Amino acid sequence: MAQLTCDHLRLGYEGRPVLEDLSFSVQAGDYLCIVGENGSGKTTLMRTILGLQKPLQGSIRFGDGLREGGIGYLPQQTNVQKDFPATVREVVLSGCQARLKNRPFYSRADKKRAEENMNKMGISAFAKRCFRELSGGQQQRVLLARALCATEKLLFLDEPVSGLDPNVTAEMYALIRSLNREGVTILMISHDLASAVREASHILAVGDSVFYGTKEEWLAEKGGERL
Amino acid sequence: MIDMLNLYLSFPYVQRAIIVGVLIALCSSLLGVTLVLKRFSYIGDGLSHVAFGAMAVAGILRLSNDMLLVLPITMISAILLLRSGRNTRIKGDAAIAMISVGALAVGYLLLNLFHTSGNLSGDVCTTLFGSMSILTLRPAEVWLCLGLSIAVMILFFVFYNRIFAVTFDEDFARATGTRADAYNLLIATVIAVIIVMAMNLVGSLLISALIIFPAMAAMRLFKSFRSVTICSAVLSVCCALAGLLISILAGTPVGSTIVAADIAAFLACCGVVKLQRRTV
Amino acid sequence: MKKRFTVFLALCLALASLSAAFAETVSEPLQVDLDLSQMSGTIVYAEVYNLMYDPAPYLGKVLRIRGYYSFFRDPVTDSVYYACVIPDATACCMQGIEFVPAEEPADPDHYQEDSADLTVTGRLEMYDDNGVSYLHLVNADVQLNPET
Repeated sequence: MAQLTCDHLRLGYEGRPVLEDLSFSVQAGDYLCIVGENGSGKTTLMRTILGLQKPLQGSIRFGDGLREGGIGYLPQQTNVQKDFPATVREVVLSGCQARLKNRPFYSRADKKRAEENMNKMGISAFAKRCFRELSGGQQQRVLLARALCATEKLLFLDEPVSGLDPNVTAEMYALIRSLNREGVTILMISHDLASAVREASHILAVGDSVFYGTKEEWLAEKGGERL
Repeated sequence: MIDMLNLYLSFPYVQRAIIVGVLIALCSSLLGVTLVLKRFSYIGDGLSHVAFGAMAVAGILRLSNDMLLVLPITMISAILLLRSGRNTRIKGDAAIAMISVGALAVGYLLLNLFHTSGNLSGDVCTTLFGSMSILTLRPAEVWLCLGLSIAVMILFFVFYNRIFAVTFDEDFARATGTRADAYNLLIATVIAVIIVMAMNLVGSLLISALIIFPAMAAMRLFKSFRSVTICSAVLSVCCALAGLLISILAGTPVGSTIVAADIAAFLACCGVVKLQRRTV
Repeated sequence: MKKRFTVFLALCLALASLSAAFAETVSEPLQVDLDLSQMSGTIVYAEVYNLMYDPAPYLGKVLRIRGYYSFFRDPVTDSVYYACVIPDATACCMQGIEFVPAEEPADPDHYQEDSADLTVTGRLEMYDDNGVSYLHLVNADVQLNPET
């Protein structure tokens, strides 16, 4: 059974569709890259899958142990508060939000989980540093640790490498790859087609022509075509 | 001077004013960071004007406890402003400007047309700048303020982690199943409560200062959300206490003295940060 | 026996009248319960507000206030009212207290300069005028403060 199934989706704002009749499904352990030009509906698709907005038509079903709200999400850097006074630990811990249920405070298990994810992302040394004083790459690791606190199953990454220098970009891709090997399903929005084809197992291209298939199918159909 | 202070502190209304003033200052500083970072400051400003209009209506109706009318009106406006502010940013701003300035104008007009007490400019001045209202609270108002500020503190404490998450990254909180709309509503309602209480302390025009200055000062000094929250609460309480004592000793207006103390604290914090940078 | 008693009574009367006369000439200093003339503007405002709002605890107390002289003659009843207007810190919330001078002024219309700076000491009492209650300071000692 698929973790995520999108069935004949029509997406858009205020009744104006930007994407029509989109169907695809994601299996556990997939690494899906969503590519497309600006304005082609990538972000709308992400917001719909995250439950931030409703599809105009069609349905999204979760399965294989994944519930709605069980997706870890890495926002685009521009959407993160710039002046927010918070330590790395506070930010990572806030990923345990969904685990609070009706309790007001984080449990010992939540805190342990946050520590583990900070270790995994190699940011334990900055635990008490202020989030806003970190470099772009470090901030992304912190937000990734937060996303991991929210899920073990599926991560949705919105342009995780935009604005990072080439070295840090390579590190970031390696980190995502290692998470995927551990069994975390990855959905990633990207406009870097070359790396998408290199990293992903599946490609979803949205825009004028819609493509969904494995990387091999994409290469067979489009060859080395640039977006 | 110590003798005078002792004498003043023996007056029951001075004691009441200090207790209530400190509690109001504490409450208003708690949500300061959220207000600044969520760009809710404009809602706070708009609401204080709405509260002025409501106060005018309460005055005309000769209500014995005007907070009972002002509180629900301000809370409803908070919810309406939040709704209009989210849909479209620019239109929302204009809506807030219209509501707040409109409430100010209509409030003053109504006061002029129907004022019942002899001293119109005195009443307006008291509502806008708070003047001395904190020293002339009736027992019912004191109890209401005590109850409300304790409720605000409990709500903040219980929802601290949610408020943090919703302030830091609303989309993430929403995507992981936090009912962000409900918490935004809670924040707006609490802001409305704080504004109505703070009107007694500093008047409707100066409320934003009471909410924003301690938070901005604390944000310069500290790096974690928790220490910023604690620091801004401590600063706000100290400034309110200092302002109250100075104003009763020197005979200056209470509200503006407290805000002046807040500004001084903010500048001092900026100075400390500058010195640190130089020495490091 | 009877004679002795009469003498005693006469003596007492004489003493009493003497002390009364003495009191009148020296005018023993009033025991002031609440001296607002020495307090800060903020406290003065709060005290006067409390006094107007809930006068019960203040009635019968001797108050000393400082402020500006104000005079009003009711054109209908022709009664005169003297008041001391107390300014406050914000200068927008002035309040006045009516007073009745201990000595009847010879010329009520020119009792004091308009807006003269006065210190008034008197006992706070409530009186009724056509069903409305008013507060005033009775038996008031009125001092004109030297210009500073």
